[in-house]
Amino acid sequence: MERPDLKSAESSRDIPTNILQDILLRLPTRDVIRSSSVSKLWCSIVRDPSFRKLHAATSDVAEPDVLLVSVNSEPGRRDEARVVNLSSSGNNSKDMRHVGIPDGYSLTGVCNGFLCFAIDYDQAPVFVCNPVTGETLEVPKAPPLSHPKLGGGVTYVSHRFILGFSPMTKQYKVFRLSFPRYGAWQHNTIHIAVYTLGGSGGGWRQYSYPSQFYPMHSTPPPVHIDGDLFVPVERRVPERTARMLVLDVGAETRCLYSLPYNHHEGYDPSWDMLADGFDLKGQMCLAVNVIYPRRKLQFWVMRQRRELRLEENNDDKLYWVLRYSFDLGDDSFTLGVPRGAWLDQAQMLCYRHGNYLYKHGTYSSWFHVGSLLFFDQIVELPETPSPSPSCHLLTRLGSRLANGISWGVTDPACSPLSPLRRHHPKTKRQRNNCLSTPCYVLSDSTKFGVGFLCVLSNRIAS
Amino acid sequence: MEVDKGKGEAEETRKVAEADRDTVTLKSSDGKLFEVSKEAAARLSTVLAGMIAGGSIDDNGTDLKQIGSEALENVVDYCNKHANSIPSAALISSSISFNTAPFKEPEEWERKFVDRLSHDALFDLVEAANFLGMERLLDVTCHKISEMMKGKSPDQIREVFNIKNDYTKEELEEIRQELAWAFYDD
Repeated sequence: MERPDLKSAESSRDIPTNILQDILLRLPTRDVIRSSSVSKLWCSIVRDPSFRKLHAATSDVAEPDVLLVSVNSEPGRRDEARVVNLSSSGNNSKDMRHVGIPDGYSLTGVCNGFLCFAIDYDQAPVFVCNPVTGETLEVPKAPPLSHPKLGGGVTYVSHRFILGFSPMTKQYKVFRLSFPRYGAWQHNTIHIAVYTLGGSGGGWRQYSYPSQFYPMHSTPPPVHIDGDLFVPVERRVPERTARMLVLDVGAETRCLYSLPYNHHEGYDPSWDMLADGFDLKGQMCLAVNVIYPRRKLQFWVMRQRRELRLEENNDDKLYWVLRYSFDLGDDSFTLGVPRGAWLDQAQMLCYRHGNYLYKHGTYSSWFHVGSLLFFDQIVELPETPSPSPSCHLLTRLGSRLANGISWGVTDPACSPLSPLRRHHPKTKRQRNNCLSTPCYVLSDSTKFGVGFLCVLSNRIAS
Repeated sequence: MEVDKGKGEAEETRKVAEADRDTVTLKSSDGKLFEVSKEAAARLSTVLAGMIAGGSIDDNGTDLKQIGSEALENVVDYCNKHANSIPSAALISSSISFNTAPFKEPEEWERKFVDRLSHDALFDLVEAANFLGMERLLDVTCHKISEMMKGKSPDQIREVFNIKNDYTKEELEEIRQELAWAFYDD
């Protein structure tokens, strides 16, 4: 689109473009997006990549917007990632966008409000979607494993694709962690492939290191906090053991830490992890379901990394602090994996299960380990999620929506698609098989499958 | 013999007095004169600071042809009010730490200062602040305008900004559909 000449619009107030930009920079993302429909000049300002970058850099973190991302699976329909803004003004959370998920793809993670879609068993491009603008970035498909047999006759591998952001380098990276599929637990190598978005090219890099701890399908999804990826991992032999793999996105260093429930009596190691991770005020928090001897929901917070000694496989050292412990009594909902916890703007600890939202005020300081808490509020949510979601997950990410606007990634190898480009007749056909055309249908009849809660972070710039 | 002290010396005295004057006179596009604290003008406006330092200040009124009298009155008013609220050392140090924040929040008096302005006066003031390189005033006025825009529909914004809608109906509908979530309430 050409930038219309300011002078040509005689009736318009002749505000210099730099002032207009200054004013628009101060607006929340939603208002910025709306202003693109004011005039062509405004649209050209708002769509300018340098404006977006500035907006991302200057927007306010004080009022983080929380996005709930859930995947709706209904028979006969294409899966859809549904993004709901839980922080929008008013009491009703609003649908922000629906993104059609191509066949075979799944939502593998969220980071700073971006959604990452990938295929976990095949060579295929990874898609990163910005739900604020609807733009989708296609990351070239990862190469085959440099050691396809994983060093021991295993042909089948699974991948876990994770999107991470490094505040230090201001870069987004897609990690692919590859590990043997079920039945090949004796293998002890984990293969990592990394792609830096907006990097100076170079494409995918691969390396591997010895480890028996893999992110499996039964382990909770990774959580991204301030440049670190917290990836729950497991090994199956000689005995089933879970760990937290902490991956530094910038430096690509890694550490393994023991998990709180390995220490906890009443937690059988043969169970799948009845835990879900989220970002609690910048700290890694695990919501753990304890079944025996009494049903409890515990929130364990990982010590800050600077307090941690980097010792691998040290089961004697507890890296976690029990922050909250709720008595769930005979509540039947405790039987599943805890799904979806976050801290809202009023410092209420929110925990979503089914179509209920449990809330607890965290401002009181009287709590000490050992005393059991009760939820202050239980809110019934208007919609009915599917009763037994295969994976219903919420993660807290913090920030104002503003940041989501920044794509800021200019990678010639990637192909960002602008939602503002002209419609063309192909659109409908593409919608059936391609993620790059997001679905904007707003519907209330959807059901919750996989859910992620993400927050748009401030440091998203580029 | 005071009287005979000599013309040259008297001239010298007058010049010193001038240099010590603590105000400068500014002239608006429509010829009105305004007095403003020299210290505040130099501190708040990079353009005026340059003129004062460069000696291009005219005692009979420095011409500011781009600025109308109403806007200039507001500029001068702002400078003089600011001069009265010279920040203490503590405030200065806290404002330094604020510099890491993207935008400084306006102070209470600054808020009140822009709140009383009409739309036209506010927009004129923004442009005057821009012209004079008054970063702080630009901050305060832009903040005010952005506050006015929040939650407004594109139609309302066009009205406030007096902007002509140069989209066709079809183009507009297309944008609204693409970015439906942002137009939820309209």
